[in-house]
Amino acid sequence: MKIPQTQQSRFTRSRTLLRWAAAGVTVASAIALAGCQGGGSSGGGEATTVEVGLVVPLTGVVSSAGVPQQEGVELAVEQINSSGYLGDGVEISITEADTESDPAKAIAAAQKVLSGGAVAVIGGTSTPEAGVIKPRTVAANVPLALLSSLDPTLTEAPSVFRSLPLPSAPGGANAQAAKQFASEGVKTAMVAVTADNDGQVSDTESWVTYLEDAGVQVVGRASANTGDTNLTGPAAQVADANPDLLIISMLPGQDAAFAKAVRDSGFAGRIGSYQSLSTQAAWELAGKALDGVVVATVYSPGADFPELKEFTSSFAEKYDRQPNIQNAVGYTAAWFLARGMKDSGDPTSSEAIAEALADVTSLDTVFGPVRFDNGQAFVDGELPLAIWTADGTLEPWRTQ
Amino acid sequence: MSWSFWQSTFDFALVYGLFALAVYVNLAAGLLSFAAVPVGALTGFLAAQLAEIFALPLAVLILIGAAVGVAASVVIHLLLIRLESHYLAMATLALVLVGQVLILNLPDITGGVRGRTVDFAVETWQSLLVVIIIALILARLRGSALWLSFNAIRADADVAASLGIRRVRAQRISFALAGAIAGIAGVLLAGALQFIGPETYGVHLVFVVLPAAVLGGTYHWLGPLVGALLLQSIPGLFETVTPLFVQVINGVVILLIVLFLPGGVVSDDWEKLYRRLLARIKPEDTPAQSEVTR
Amino acid sequence: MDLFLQLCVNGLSMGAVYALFALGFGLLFATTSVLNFAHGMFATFACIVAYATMQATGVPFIVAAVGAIAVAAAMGLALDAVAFAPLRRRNAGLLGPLMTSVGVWIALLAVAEMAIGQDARPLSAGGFESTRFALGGVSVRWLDVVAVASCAVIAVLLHLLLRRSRVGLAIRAVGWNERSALVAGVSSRRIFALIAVLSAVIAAIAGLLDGLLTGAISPQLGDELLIVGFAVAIVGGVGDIRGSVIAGFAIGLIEVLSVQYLGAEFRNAATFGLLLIFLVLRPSGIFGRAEKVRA
Repeated sequence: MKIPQTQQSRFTRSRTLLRWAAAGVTVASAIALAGCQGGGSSGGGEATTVEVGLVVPLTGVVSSAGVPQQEGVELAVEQINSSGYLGDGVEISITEADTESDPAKAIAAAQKVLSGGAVAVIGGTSTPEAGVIKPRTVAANVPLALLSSLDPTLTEAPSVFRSLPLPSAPGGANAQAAKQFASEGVKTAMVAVTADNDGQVSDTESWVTYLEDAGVQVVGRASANTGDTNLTGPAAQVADANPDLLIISMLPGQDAAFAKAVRDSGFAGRIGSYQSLSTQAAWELAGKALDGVVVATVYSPGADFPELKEFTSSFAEKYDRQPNIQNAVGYTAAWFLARGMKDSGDPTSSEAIAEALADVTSLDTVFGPVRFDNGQAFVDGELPLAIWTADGTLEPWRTQ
Repeated sequence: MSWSFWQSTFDFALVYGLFALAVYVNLAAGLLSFAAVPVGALTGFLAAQLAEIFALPLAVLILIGAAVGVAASVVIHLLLIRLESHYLAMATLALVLVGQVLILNLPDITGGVRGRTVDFAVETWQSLLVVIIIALILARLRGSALWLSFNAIRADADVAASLGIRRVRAQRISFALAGAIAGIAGVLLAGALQFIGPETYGVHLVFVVLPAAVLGGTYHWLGPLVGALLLQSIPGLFETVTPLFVQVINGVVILLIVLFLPGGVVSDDWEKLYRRLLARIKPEDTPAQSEVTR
Repeated sequence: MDLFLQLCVNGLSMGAVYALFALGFGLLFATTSVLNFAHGMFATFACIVAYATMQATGVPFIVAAVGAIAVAAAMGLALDAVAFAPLRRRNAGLLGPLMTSVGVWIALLAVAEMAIGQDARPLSAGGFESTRFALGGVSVRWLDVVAVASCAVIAVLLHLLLRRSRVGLAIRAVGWNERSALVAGVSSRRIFALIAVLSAVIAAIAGLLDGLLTGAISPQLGDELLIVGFAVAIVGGVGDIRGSVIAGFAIGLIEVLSVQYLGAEFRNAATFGLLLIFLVLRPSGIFGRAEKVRA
């Protein structure tokens, strides 16, 4: 047994090293405790710079959403600053903090931006991250604009807002897609879900509800776990059951892989999906399997909203490619905050911003016009939704 | 870097350090076990559930955590008693994975996939106090007959047996002690995060805690604490470097320390390293080796 | 019934991948007592290299795969030289090599993410992976056949190598007691190098098969295999070839069937519950010898 044996060596016996080690730990403790009292924010600084914190996963498993969100935020902030939207000489300054897709690190990231004097925070790409960021921003009295976390219980004006209409909301993208499918003759459906992810599970539950409400019979459920790449089993299950419609509600990457696996298994029915199956990466992974796939998304490239057209062209100019839904999520969150800052009259006060945000009742976004209710955005009109074409582009499924 | 960031680093260093101490206690008795993680999961979720139903003060939650930790660890040891070295390590690793599945499938208590909020918070001074108390206990134990029996078993179990030291009993005690520490650590982690889910006490925690225990040093209880502090500080020290590269640095640091300071940071390997370097540079000046080699 | 058979086919081909992975892991463990947590990286990087090669030069998959396997072999040698050899000299026991492998794993995982980012990338063998034929009521991919066949062939070759060749004898001698083997004239350095290369190459093949079967590669590919491969190795008896193959197929089947009939949430419960039962009741595995591990 070679687990290191003890020997009271001269060094440790003489306690020199131990003293150094103990001293080091003590000093670290003292500094950390001192930080309890000290460590406040540096205040607003000059009246012209508004500090906003961006707490997103730039690396790690959720970074495929976090990085595009950051791009959207950056574009928005550029536009806000260069157009003088907040007034002469008033500019937003973004401090980024990488959560590394780890909720424990998200706490440190949130604290970093808060102690840097942020008067608003954009964050919460995933629900675990949102869950740990929220208590910190609430304790600091700083408004939080959520990104793509789907947990509906998080929003709470005037502390936590979400400018992304939830697909699962009544009258939202899922409900509208379900109705549309039913009206096009779909009678039976199956759902495929990433079973160990809370967001996808509740998204799936909403699909089942709306499909059944629309008269479609849900005949089965296929599932996979986060990170699973072996999808041949659930794909075979779908091919065997052969429903008219398959709804895919899976995490990005897995959704595309499943669409491909299901087509490979011989399933020829219609496919609808949660909003994430809408990126260039998905097309690269699944290719032709995406042809005709409907995406229940509020972000519909090519739809006739002026903000969307403007966003698409500015994004293409800056980044040399078409934006996707996560870009839009970040972009909208940033513009929503800016609206609150402008309305507040005092963009360096987090309380004023929070109150102003709570007073926003409607906003024209890249998703079309949305209304706010207790911090959560909703769409009211008919959504164009989106459908994939054979050459890898998304277009509106129906006209507004 | 702001105070707040370092404070957060320190908070987690304390909690991970406690988990590492649990691993260390087992290592001291010759066992490599990752049971600290599933035990911590048990007490963390239990504490969160209890705090939701009754408003219990943190001290009570911690004591409950310690008690449950002891019980759970003893049960685990009873189950896995026949396993040796590698197999015990692998069994306890399997336990971590099974634990994650259990957490996923008991949504009423654990929040299932969603995870759950934790109604109590843990301040830095509270974690520090707990760590100090445990450190004092371990310091007291160090010279005790129990610890000497651990050392003997670790060195050579057969010789120890011939000296009348009962291996199984001593190792069960080490499991119990490690379980108490892990139980407390689980509660503190829940309070530090305030939102826990299936991923919180998962495999990734094992590979945060194990390096801390081993790198810090397996000879002295200060080792795991220093190890945790060191590893948690790496991102802060290399702030200007991209996070992915920080992970590379993390891995390389682990590799280097194991290669050059096998006893860990808190050990006499510094002295040995110094001697080796000296021997290379000036062979004639090297003083005679006066200590017993391992 | 057709669905059940179809699932069995899927389970067997995935099981073949798991078995291969466990074989590589077990080979290293049985001969050197090293638990190599970086084993998954051979699979991951084989896929990344194959993908990058095809992207950059457009060569067919088989060419890229050969190159990828060669790279994995080199990685295996490097890993052994950097992380395990220095510790062998020191007689470091269980914890040392385990920790160095963890350090290498952490670093390489980050490098993998730097290489291809977090988005899953497609891996394709020019359409071969989609070709199928019908067998009864079941649709079998040629790739499934390739996977199972590779597993069988490699298992047999490994058995022949270890049990029926001089090199195999040398490997077993070195694994049992390096010093005695040295006395008998075995060059342990070369043997360790051979073991490292074999282990890495087998893992690379498993990884490439996994990438083709699932159509997607990501930095996590190897780690997913590692977790299940480790369970397979234990259940089958670490280092035992028959055991790894049987356990691999068994777990592949269990996984696929439990996802279908219980739901994906329970898949890990089934696999790791089985693992736990074995560990408690029969830790040496189906075919393992219950000898004390000399550490």
